[in-house]
Amino acid sequence: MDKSELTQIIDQLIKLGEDADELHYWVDIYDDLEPEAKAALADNLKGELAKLEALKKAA
Amino acid sequence: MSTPEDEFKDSGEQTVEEVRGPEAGAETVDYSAELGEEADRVADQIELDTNTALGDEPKLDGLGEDDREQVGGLRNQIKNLGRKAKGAIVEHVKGDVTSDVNDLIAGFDLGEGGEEGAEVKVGPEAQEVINEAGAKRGGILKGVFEGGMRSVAVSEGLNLIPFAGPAKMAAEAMAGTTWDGKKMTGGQRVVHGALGVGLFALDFVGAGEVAQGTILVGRSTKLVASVGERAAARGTMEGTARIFATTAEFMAKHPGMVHSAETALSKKIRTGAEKATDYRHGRTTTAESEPDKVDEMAA
Repeated sequence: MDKSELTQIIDQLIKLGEDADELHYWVDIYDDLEPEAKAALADNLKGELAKLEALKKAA
Repeated sequence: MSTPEDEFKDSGEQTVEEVRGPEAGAETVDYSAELGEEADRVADQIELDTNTALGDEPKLDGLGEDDREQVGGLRNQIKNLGRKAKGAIVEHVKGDVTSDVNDLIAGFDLGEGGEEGAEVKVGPEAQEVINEAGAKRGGILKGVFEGGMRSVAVSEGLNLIPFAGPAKMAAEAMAGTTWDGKKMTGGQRVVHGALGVGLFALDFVGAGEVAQGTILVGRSTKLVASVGERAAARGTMEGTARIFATTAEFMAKHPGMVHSAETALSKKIRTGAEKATDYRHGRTTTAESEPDKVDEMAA
């Protein structure tokens, strides 16, 4: 996942109630993370976004 | 031209020494019993005033759903500020009566939380998802911090037993609750994890056992930055150096959050619930025994 995609996902998560401070911190350190950490973070954020959007639709 | 000191003298107010005697400040005095009741009264009044100022729920018949949510979010944000102020007063006055006024003000943390606009209402199911994902990110961050600490330690030629103190602290921080048992926000998770890095920095100076507790208060941000500087000085750990530098910047932007975390951790250390040993030498040293080294490190 490149940084612009990361930023887009994070913007959506913040609109859904996520902690902006923490997520902006991840954006700040993203370029310096090892590939494994980047991949784990991407999976985490994508999965969370999918779950939150599903809940929003169901509401 | 009169100085502030002259004006104070002219005002007829008594100095701390005049009120409490010449030994004031030389030792910690427990005023918590006297001040606790007053703290509760002031804190309750602040929360009450905040809620009174908000008034009744406005009628929003003419607004769309998004606008109604936004207004509701703003009201919640204001209420949260009142609650934060209340919590800060009670915690600081009851928890550490020797804190100075700046610590108290920093603890209010009023500048945080408003950056993104209205606070979003989150239902219980969504909150569960957020908590679960946050805890997993905590695990990722723990790995990042530990990897960075390990690289710095190896570069310094330290023969370490694997990070007994800091790693345990960081692991606890990532579990989702603060050391005093409160639910953590994502930002708090970063700060609490970073305190593990701060403790790790203390280990460089042989003051791994922070039995005094207060050794970390007001210093952790500089200590985290110092780990980044050590990594940067090696020239082979640019990424690690930037991560710790960015973490220190994050901490500097959130002084209240950092102060609360430092205070909570210090209390825990003081009560003996947590011990960080000097795993480098297997010896017991304290801030009392080597204060100069600690100050040098944090400078």
